Formats: sequence, structure tokens, C-alpha cells
Amino acid sequence: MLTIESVSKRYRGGHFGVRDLSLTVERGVLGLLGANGAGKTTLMQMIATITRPTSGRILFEEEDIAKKPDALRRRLGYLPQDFGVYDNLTAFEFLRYFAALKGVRDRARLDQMLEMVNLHGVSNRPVGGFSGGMRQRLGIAQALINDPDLLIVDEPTAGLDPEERVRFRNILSDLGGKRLVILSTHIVSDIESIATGIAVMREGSLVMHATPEEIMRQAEGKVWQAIVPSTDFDELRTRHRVSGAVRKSDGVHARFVSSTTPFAGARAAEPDLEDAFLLLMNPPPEAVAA
Amino acid sequence: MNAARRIASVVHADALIRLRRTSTLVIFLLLSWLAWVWVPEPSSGFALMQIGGARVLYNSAAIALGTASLATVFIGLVGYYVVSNALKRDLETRAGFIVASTTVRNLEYIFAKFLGNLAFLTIFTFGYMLVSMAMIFVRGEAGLEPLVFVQHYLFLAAPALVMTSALAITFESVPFLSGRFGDVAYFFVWIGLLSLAAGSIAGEGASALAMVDMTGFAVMSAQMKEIYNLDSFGIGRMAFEAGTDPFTFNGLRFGAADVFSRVIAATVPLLLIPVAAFFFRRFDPAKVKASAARQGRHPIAWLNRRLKGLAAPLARIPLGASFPSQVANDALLTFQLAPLGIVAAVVLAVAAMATGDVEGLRSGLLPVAFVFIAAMIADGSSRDAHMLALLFSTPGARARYTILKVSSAILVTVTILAGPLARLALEDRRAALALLAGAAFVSSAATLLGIVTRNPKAFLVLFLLYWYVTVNDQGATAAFNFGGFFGEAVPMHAAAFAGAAAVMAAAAWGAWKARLAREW
Repeated sequence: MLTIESVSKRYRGGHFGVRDLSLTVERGVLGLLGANGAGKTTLMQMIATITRPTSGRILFEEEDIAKKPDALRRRLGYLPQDFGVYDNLTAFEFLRYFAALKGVRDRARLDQMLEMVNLHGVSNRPVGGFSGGMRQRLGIAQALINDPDLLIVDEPTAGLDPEERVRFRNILSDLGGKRLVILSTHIVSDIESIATGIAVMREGSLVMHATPEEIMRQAEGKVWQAIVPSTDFDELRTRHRVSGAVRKSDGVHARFVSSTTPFAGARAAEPDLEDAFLLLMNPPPEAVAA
Repeated sequence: MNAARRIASVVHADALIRLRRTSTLVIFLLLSWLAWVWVPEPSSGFALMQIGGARVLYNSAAIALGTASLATVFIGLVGYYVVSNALKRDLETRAGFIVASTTVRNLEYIFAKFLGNLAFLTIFTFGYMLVSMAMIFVRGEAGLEPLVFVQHYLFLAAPALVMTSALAITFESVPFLSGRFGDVAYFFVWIGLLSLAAGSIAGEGASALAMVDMTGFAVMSAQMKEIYNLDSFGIGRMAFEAGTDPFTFNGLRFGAADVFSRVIAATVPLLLIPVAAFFFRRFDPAKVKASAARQGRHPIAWLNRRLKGLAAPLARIPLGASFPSQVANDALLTFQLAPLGIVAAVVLAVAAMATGDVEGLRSGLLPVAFVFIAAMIADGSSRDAHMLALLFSTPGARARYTILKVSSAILVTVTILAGPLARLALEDRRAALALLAGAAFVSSAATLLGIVTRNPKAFLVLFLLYWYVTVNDQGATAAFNFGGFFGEAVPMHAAAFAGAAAVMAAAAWGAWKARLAREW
């Protein structure tokens, strides 16, 4: 469905936003995971035809989107990062505006979208008074107004409270069945339950593209847990990459990654996506000999 | 068909966004108030039009002509600054990214934004025309003729509406002109257009110049001469000789040739739309970043970048946490952001000491210096928009923000003017005091308008307009001689400007308190 062939984006001054990235994806939810500055937004903007690659090609159903952007644009839904609104418009007016830009005339479709994102009750209120979560839901409604085959959402959960995050995640999960949804985030929990595929980016390059299971599998045998006295915890952190820690009465229950058995008393743990991501982002430093 | 719908949708949304703003209502009320001032009660000794010493009879034609003339001037200046944010808004909200990901064509979008500007200004002008019509019932001396109003407004204001809308979208699209440099540059473009209008009234190539006369003054003057045999007439709160019979103005003539010249004047600006579309970057982040870098190539930004080293020592000046230190810190930040100010201070100091003629210094150099100062301090109180939470965490900043900003602006102004102030203090203390009062007046105005409007544009446009009148007035009216530039400095006038500065500072404080209560 979407093929990215050796795509690079180089800015003035020689800095690469994305470097020689290749990827092929089909329908489902693709989680684009990476630290801030990894190049996720630049990649998504290139896919959304907002900016062009400086080299390489992006094909949507075999068509080069740089040569025929409209072929994709007609079937595209896009929600940019830090999406703002026109404060003085009501939710309905806002949605109608983007519906018109996308050639959607069906009034019932607008109502349907507002209902789907649970904003139908406030559709006549100015969006300037909306919370961050309501704005994001309105954003997803505009992205879906033309029933797109490709939906791109860039860091959609940033700034949302936990309840809104879950709600947003569920909406995206429902959408992934019949279209390709590309969701970028640096928060693993945003995608761990909904992504059918995960692409991990670091410094503009693709580190790994696989199913969540495959990504977790490559971390097997490298995730450990141990209970250490709180006085030793700092030392543990200097030697190993810690993915989680809980302070309890018997000491700190720590979870960390290490490619070798770290020390006596540490038990191998079943890796989760957070561990695997940590491992991909930062290959573990070998434990310093005690 | 789809394109037409998309264009209509952009125009509709832009109109709603603008018409629902409080600032739109404020500007509308301001313009309506100006219309009432412009058409005074004849018993006051002033009238809308004065012809050969006689006042004009207040019929529909006279009031329509007078208020439409005011509208063309107002649209050309204030209208531009009101509508010149159509693309910026889409960029800031990132809604532009969504637009860029649709099938909307660049030319289509720019044309839609142009029409959005035009629709808003037309609605605004229509509302103003209704207010002007209402004046017939209050001050009129003949019955209301709505068609006469519509004819005069269409004839005079339509080209101004088109020209202003087209220039606004063009300035926004061209990277070089889309920032504060463009805001200042537009003012001089506007002055140029007014000069063209004046040039087209008589002389060589008059008919060609009339084609770009957005004000309609050229054709108006020509008709006045042709129909009424008048070589001169005045519009706008003019004194007249009491006892003379009022002159009855029956309106302009709308012959085919005159209408054709106005249609051409309203069509010529459309040539700017393809130019704007050519420069439009379709919100491409790579190109917008590059545009921002290119914008830094305009002379002032380029100079500021080159002079960055000059400001480096300022960062090493030790400052405490006291209020004077905070003021100094804020003023230093202004110079660090625009090191050209340091050069300006040195150049002014050298010029002030080198010039033999103090009068030349006061009436020639100092007014020009104030244009530079206005650009320097315009964003003093609006540049912190995204940093207020950070600032409020510092001691006293929240409570003393307004006085801090006024003091900082005054310090910057006085620093730049230090050389001339020293020279005047030695030779003409009254002039030095008048200059200080002018510095406080401009600094308070910048702070007040920055706090109220949250951007530097309102101050810049109002200051430049005021400055333009000041320079042309040459001291004839005390209310415009804000730095005591022209004639002998009068302490009472200086005190009045200092008082006005204090009133504006107090108003800024009130506006700030209200904003804090509302938002923080």
C-alpha cells in the first residue's frame, strides 16, 4: 500500500531530517516510535505531501506521490503535531471548513464524525474554549471527514490526560481495520496495544521495522529484574539501562536491560515493548566488572 | 465546481474568524467615531467640506463623498494591518499543514485568501457606510438617498478594497516582506500610493497614474474642477467662514470613462495574485524554514545578525534582582535582540556632537531616529507571549510587569537618544525636556498597544501614521509635535506629553490587571 524507497530529507546547512529510509507497509496501525528529534515528523510530512524528499521516492499504491500528490491527497487524512484551531469558529463550522477543502458535501457525514469523537453535544460551541483533548478529537474528526485510506496522526496524545489518551487510542484502534493508520509517538504505551507494526527511528534512520512481537523477541534474554538496596540503586543505574523501578520496603524493585547476566540475584524477565524500545534506542553498555 | 466551493469555504471561514473578534468591533467603533468627527456639527465652526470659504450643505452626496474618502484612507492603512495575517494564522495553528495535504491548488488558495480579505473589508466598509447614512438623520440637511451612498462608496472605495486585499496577501506570501520589515515597508508603500494619487491629479501621465489610484482622489479632483470649476477644496473637519451660504454638492458624475478608470484601478491589483501564488510556500516546513532564513536577509535583520558580536559584552554586565536591575535586564535584551540599536546610539551621538545646527538636529535627525526607535521597542511587551509563565516565576515580574515594560522601553529610547539629549541639555534644556517627554510618550504607547493587542503591529501602524502627520505638520499643531522637534520647545507641551505618557502607562497597567484576572 505504501512503499518508501531510500528516502532522505536534507535541510539547508546539510542537516538530515531523514536519512536513506526504506519501508513497506500495508493496512493496519503502524506505530512510528522514536525519541524527540528522531525524524518522525519529517517522515510523516513527506508522506502527507507537505514537504518533498530531497532523494528517494514514496509510492502510494504504486504511484509516486511527489509526481502525483493529488492521487494520495484525495485519500489522505492528516492530523499534525501541536494542532491548533481557529478559536472563533464553532466545532461544526471548523469541520465544515475542512470538509469543503476536501470536497466533502454530505452534512450527515459531519454529524457522524462529531458523534464518533463525542463532540456532537458541543458542536455549536466556539472551539477556543475546548480542552486539549476535545481539540485533538476535533482534529481526528477533520482527518477522517473524507473517509481516508491513509490516516497520519503525529504525536496525537501529547498533552492529553490519561483518560483522553485511552479514548484516543481506542478511536485509532477501531480505525486501523480497513485503512493504514500511521501514528507517531515517543511514548510506547500509546501504541503497544493497538499497533500491528512498529517502525523505530533514531537520528533520521530506521532502526527496525517489525511486528510488536518480533521487536519484543529481540529483547529476550536481555531484560532483568532485581531487588537492590536503595543505596546501591544509583550504582545499578550507572552500569545498566533501567526501564523501570519501584521503591518498596525491601529495596528498589528494578527492571533493566543487559546483554549478559548482570550479577548474582538478578532474574531474567519477559521483555515488554518498553524494554525492547529502550534496547533499540540505547544498546546496553556491558556491565562493569564488579 | 469543487474549486468554487473550496474558495467559498475559505472566504466564509476567514470572514467568521475576523468578524467574531473583539478587535474588529473596536476598530469599527473607532472608524465610526472618526466619521462623526469627520462630519462635525456646522455650529461648531467646522464642516465636512470647505469650498472657497463656504461649508458644504449636508446632503447625501456630500456625506457620502466625505465618509467614503475617509474609508479609502482608513482601509488602505489600518485595513491592511487587520487582514495581513491570513496565512500567518494558518501557519501558527498548523491548520496550514492540513490545507497543504489536500488537493487545493496554490493559486486557488491564495485567491481564496485574497477574496477572504476583500470580503471582510467589504463587510466592514458596508457597515461603516450604514453608520454614515445614519448621520443624515442626525446632522443631515436633506433627505437620505441610499443609492447615492452606494454609488460614491463603490466608485471611491472599491479599488482601495481590492488593492489593500491584494497587497496584504502578497506581502504575506513574499518571504522578504512577511515580517515586521514588511509592516514598516507597507507604510511607505501606502505613502507612495497616496503620492501617486496626488501626482495623478495633474501633470504628465496623469491618466496612467489614475489607473493605480486606489483613493479615487484623482478622479474626484478632476471632476470637482470640471463640474464645479473648483481648483481647491478641503475634506474632513474644515473650518469655514460663518455667514457664507452653504455650497450644495450634487455628487460625483459616474460617466463611462470615469467608471472605466475606476474599474481599471480595481482590476490592476489582481495582477499581484499570481505573484503571491508564485512565492507561496504551501506551508512546506522545509521551505518556510528557508524562507525564515531568507527573511533574515532583509537589510535590518542582516545587519542585526552581523552586529551580534557587539551585543555579546552586554550579557556579561552583572545585574541583581532589584527592580532597576530587572529594567536594565529587559532593556539589554532589546539591544541583544537588535544590536543595530547600539550602532544607532553611537551614530546619533556622533551626529549630535558634530552638527553645528541644533535646529537641524531637532527637526531633521530626531524625527527619523524615532522611526528606528519605534521599530526597536514595538514588540517590547508582546515578545513575551509564550514566556509569561516563565517570567511570572521570577520575583516581582507579575505584579510589576507593566511598569517594568514601560521603564525598559524608556531606557532603550533614552539610551539611543543619549547623544542628542546631552547636546540639547547643554544648549537648550527645554528642548531636552521635550525630547524626554516624547521618549516617554512613545514608550508608553508602545507598551499599552503591545499589551492590549498582543502584537507590535497596532503600535507600528498608529505610530507611523502619527509620525507622518507630525513631520508634515511641522509643529503647526502642538498635539503632533511629540518630541518638541519643531519650533521653540514649550514646557507646557512637554508636560502634556509626559501626562499623556502617564495616562497610557496607567491604561496599560489596567489592561494588564484585567488580563491577569481573566487568564492567570
